Amino acid sequence: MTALGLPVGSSDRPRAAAVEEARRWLRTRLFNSPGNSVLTVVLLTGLGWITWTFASWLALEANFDVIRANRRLLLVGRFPLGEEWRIWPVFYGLAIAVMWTWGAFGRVTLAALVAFAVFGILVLPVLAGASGTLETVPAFVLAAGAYFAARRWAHGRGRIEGRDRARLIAGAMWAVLLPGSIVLLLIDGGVDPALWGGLYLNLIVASAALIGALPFGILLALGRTSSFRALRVGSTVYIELMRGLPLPVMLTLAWLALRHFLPSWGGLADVDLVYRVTIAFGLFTAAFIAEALRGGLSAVPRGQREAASALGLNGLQSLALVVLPQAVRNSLPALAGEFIGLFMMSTMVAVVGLTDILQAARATTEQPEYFGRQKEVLLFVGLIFWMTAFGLSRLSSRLERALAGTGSRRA
Amino acid sequence: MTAPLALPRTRPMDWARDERVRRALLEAVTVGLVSALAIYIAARAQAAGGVDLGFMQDRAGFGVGDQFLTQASGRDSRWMAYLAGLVNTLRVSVFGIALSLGIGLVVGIARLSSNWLAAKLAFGYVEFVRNMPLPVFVVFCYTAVVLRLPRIEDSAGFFGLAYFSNRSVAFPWLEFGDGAALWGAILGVGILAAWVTHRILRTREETTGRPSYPVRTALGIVAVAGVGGFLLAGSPAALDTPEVGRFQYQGGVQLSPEFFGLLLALALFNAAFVAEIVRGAIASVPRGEREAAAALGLSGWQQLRLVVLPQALRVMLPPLATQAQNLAKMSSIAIVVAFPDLMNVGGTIINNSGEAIPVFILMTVTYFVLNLAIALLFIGPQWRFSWTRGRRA
Repeated sequence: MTALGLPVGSSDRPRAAAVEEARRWLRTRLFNSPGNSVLTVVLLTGLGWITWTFASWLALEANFDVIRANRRLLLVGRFPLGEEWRIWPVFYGLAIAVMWTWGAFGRVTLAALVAFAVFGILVLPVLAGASGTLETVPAFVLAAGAYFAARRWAHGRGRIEGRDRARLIAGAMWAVLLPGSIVLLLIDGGVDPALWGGLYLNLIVASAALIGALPFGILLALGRTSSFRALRVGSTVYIELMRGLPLPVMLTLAWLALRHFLPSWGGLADVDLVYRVTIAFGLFTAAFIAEALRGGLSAVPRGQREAASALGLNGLQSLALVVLPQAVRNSLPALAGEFIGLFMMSTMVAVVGLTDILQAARATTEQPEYFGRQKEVLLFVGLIFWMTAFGLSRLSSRLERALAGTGSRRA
Repeated sequence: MTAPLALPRTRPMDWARDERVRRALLEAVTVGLVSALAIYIAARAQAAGGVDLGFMQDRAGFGVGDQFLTQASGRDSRWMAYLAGLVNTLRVSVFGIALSLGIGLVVGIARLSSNWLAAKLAFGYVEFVRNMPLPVFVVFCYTAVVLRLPRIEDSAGFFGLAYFSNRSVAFPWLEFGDGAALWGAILGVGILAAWVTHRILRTREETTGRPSYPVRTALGIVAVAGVGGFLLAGSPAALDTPEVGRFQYQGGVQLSPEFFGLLLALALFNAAFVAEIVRGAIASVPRGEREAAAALGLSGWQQLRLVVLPQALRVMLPPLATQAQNLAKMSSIAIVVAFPDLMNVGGTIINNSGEAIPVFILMTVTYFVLNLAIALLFIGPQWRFSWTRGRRA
């Protein structure tokens, strides 16, 4: 306003207007009735008390040395020294894939940027120590580079093909990265699964279970909507059984009894606990994926299938080429929600005694010098999951909006 | 074209091209496959112990640490231990559901409040909890909140009524004396009378249009029966407030830190999801409904209670039922804080009997029955507020 030639000398006019505006805002949004005024005062007092308690704890009591000293345990558990080359590529890949996907599908909002900056500022000094710092710096540079490259490619003027290609590459990145992270753990002699741990175990279990659960979930969803009665009944029974069973019970089943149900050839029945737990997660998640997909399937108009059969496609072809792609796209947000849930629920492996990040965090406070530092460690663990889940859910809502527009071209 | 009605002669393999025959064949194949899978699983389960539950009658050999109403010791049968675990699961589920519904309702309404601060705080709470894994939340509530409470000697008190310490949490409780049964009977009759009066007055109000105050009258009758019965029976109940002893509290009802931590986590965690359900349901009631109610001269609270909430309830009850079932299932995370719930006790039984499959079948059935019971609990209100039956619609 001032730039548009407001008379000099009345520079307090806009300030007065701003004060008036603020006053009106307070009056209408906080003190618009006696009841609301009381509520505001009470809430302000409570908020002030909580902020004060937290701030004074942070300033006077909290000591984050426990995280710095145990960062290796928290991130990778008892992973053998000298085998880190199996993890670093995944770390770099993840940083690049996340930011590329973000660049290809949307824009990082200011709020998200601020949140991640705060996270980085909070976490990096804590994690920074004698080693490990230098290796993380290139990841940030690469991630930023990937974001801007994808953004430039996807949002260059009038380049729909560029955008599509950027999105395709994003999909390809994830398709390579998730199985790749597991392959890296197994090649060249591999690392004993009993030594996988920390946050990396959560990631591995969640992504491996997702990879296994997706095809199985698709089959279950098709089975449940199939016209063959046996398939319908079988899929329905399976899905409802899984949905009625608590996950910890399923995990304990994998721990103690899965070997009774696995075929004995190839030593399959005696695979390591980590694999069995992953199988249990996969079997469990498949039921929820099937339910998410069923919604997507029912949203595909009948006409699509009829058109496919009019074009001469047989049942299998119309399913694979016409119906399923649309169903998967319809239920992508729900599937993303399932993955977020799966990643968070992977902390339930504590039930069967695996050392994931939560168990590692609990172990750190049993070291005599860090006794009683539960708040610091758990806050750190919670923050990691919070940022991941929050970021992923924002990304998936971007994805949803981005894909909503491509319906007519892709179908 | 010349002979359109002349059917082609059937040839030997034509049946194989018949759509119906193909379908029937495929149907048979799928039935075969699915039943083969079911038979395989059943056979494997049978081979690994099946449903023979005889070992459940043997001595348990372990005690259940935290019990409510039950007294299972190591000398009792495994069934008794299992029952103690079931009661613990029920206890944490029932209180957890009640607390999360209460907190969630308040937070959900606050999300839509005209008070900016209340709305933002409620939003912050929901976002904070929903992006946090439940196990982390449970461990935090237990190790970083409950176990960090003061020692029992310097318990944090709440107006001398409740005490919080890292060994246990104590609340006041009613202690019943001699005339408790009489008091209960009088109160029961009072409630029955109140219910009948409520129905009669409500019908009159609806048919004649004259205000008859059914709710107030009914509450009055219950209050009179309660207070009158209490005096008539000679004050049969007294408030038993806890007192700080040297090693434990005296009197009142005492909750173990495991139970309290788990309950706190489950209630606060699920409240966020309940709040989202409540918010969605209230938002789904068209604006016009509220405007119409305002135009009729209803106050803000009346608009909410008489117009908006009854319609929102219809939308929110099915997802709330699912959420309550979720809470009951999630309570099996109790094992990370060593609270002896159904799942924890079941695991111990598996370990000391070696009978994995039968116990799993038992646990699965128990959780299914629990889920079903919760669903049934919600069906009553659903029926009451459905479009077709609801009087208030």
